[in-house]
Amino acid sequence: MSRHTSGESDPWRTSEYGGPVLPAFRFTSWIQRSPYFDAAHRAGARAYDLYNHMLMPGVYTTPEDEYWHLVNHVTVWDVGVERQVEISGPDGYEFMELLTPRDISTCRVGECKYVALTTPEGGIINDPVLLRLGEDHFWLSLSDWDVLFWAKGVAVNADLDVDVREPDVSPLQIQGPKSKDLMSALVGPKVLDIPYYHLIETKLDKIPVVITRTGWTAEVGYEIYLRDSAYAEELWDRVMAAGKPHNVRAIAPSEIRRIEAGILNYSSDIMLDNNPYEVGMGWTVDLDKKADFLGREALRRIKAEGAKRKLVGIEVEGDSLGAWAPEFYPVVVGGKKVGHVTSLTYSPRLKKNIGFALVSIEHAKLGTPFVVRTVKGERGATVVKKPFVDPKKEIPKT
Amino acid sequence: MAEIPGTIPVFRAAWYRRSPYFEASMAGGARAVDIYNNMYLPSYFDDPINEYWHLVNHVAMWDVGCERQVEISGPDAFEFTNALTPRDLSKCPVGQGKYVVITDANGGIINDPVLLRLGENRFWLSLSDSDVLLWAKGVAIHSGMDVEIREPDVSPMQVQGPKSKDVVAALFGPKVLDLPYYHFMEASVDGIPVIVTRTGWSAEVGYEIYLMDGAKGVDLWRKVMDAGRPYDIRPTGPSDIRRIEAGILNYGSDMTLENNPYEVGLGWLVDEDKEADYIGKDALRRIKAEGVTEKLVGVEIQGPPMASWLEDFWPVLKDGRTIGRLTAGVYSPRLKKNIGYANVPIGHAKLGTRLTVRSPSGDREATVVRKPFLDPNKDIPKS
Repeated sequence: MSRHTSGESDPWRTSEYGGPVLPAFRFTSWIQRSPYFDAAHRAGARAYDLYNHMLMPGVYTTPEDEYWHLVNHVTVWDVGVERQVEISGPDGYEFMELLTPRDISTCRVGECKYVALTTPEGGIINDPVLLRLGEDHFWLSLSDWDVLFWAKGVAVNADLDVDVREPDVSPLQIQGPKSKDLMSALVGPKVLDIPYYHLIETKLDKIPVVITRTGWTAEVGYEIYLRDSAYAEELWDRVMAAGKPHNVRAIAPSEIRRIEAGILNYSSDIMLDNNPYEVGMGWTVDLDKKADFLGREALRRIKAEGAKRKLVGIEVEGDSLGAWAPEFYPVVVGGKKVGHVTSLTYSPRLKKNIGFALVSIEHAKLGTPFVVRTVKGERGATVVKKPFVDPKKEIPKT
Repeated sequence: MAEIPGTIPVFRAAWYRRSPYFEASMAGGARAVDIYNNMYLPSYFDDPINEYWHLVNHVAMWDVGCERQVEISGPDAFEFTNALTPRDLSKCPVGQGKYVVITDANGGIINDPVLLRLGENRFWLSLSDSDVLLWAKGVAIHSGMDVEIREPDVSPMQVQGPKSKDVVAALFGPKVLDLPYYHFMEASVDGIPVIVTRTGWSAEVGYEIYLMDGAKGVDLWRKVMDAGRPYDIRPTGPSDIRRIEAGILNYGSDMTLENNPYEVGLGWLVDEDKEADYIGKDALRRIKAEGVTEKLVGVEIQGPPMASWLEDFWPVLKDGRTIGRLTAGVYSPRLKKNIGYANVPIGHAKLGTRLTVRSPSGDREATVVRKPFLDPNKDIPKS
């Protein structure tokens, strides 16, 4: 039974926003709001995404318009939904090592790392950016799902002296080629000395922040982690003022740009039943790291046996299929389902539908053709190399 | 349909999960959704006031596939599950369900699921909105216990209202009517495997049908609709009005990880003479001995009828000072009053205490009253 063929009369149709929006989502007290919610609303946020039980602006103008602003100018994102899990206490370091296959011994204080958190079976709990604030003091800047519960749960029987909690921290992302101009106007020139994936702790007058050279775009970018939500409105206004000469705009996270860059989204490209190898995160696994970690044996076995599925880059033929997909489109070879599309967008720069698909390994070779069943009918597709632009990540490191 | 305020545009996106009933709910006229456990939950098909009356007078079916299950099995499953909750599961025989809280080491509430004991060492936790799968999997590590923890292919629907007995009898035969309150049985409808429980979120007579084959959701939906047609069954959203009348709590608003069971009126879920160790035991003993500092109280709120759900936690004031927040508030068309819950310091929790609640359209007077607002002995759902 499909409801996606009735065109304009279908309440689930693609909206004016450039992507599909629900007919109505109930606005209730138990949906959390980021401390920037009102400011973002005033700046024109008009559709939202729900992430970590919290609303995140999803569209201000259109995804395509916002994309061009991101790649040409500088943009501000309300990503208060990136909730933090703070790990501290005498055994904080040891506990952090336990949670991830990445070797944290090489992560100095003041450095950040993109990590997978894994179960003993090698499944991915989350793919946060880790911030090392002290020898035994870490933040995990989360994608979606309640990792606080995972970390607290692991701590129950770990016999380690750690404190695990959600601090009052709410990030903003500042992304785009002119983000350096904005940030040096806001913070001073010292911000330009922060290397890629490093952080500083500082204050903007009274406003306590951590600033990282990270982001979800593969453009030059920063994140400002506000450490006291009472200052959210003031911080937002100061960012906008600092960015005004550089044509700053509030936009939503860009699905287009992150897919071009090969950046993954937890809950679509990665789920609990995926291991790091099959989604291309094998480079974050240090099987021989010295410290104990959850999943070592399973990941060793998976690596030896080889992944059974693989997340591949795809190009899908035909006209635009929208800025994001409303469902996981089936991937079909010879009439048989061999996987599904996990992310899909139309890149206005590449003038193509690009995305990722999780397919069985025998259909993962570059150039493999298959069929994708979309809301607009069946489309031909091909496995291609990803990322789709800037494979060495030279842009964000500049 | 009257205009229903309180919606906001949200993406329809692949990263939100769909219940097996999703297509049927949409075709059945769902007008709005919540997102609950990362899954769409149809929140109303009609004005929630009409849906309330239908629930109270007839029978309603709800797509609550978002009540995800955590299944705990394996040789040590009893011991492990008993360590997750302050309720004493040695008093829960196979075939029975229990309303429980899952607590962390500080006594904070992780979730308030309905637990079903399917076997000596096999349990389901039927969840409210938080990722208990991650909590339980985390706790299992280094616990030294041999357990398996997973999310099974199980998706509940609720059939609630005074005529629900007629509907389930038509579906499963008269033996289903022998189920005592909070008990369950395995059954099938034309080969579709289900578990039927005498539970629900309405405090009306009601059942939940736990579908055990996600490929059969639309099929089951149709069969329930067919069986219910003579009794005027309708798909609706869960009724916030009815659950508040009944004193039922909603995780995420009336309680969060910041709350312990005592302060939200769930102290009866803490078995103080439970011998087995469980997570939070020391903290809860200390809290009990010291007494709580805040309390979730029933309130009646003056002024014009409120909406059918609360969009924001309204501040609660005493003598001009904010002392707490309104966690739930609706207009009950039956009681012809605005009713809800407020979280306030213990010094302002006495029955009859006068408070002020600050709504976006102005201040309203409120009074602390007894809850539940109706049927305090739960005679209705047990009937």
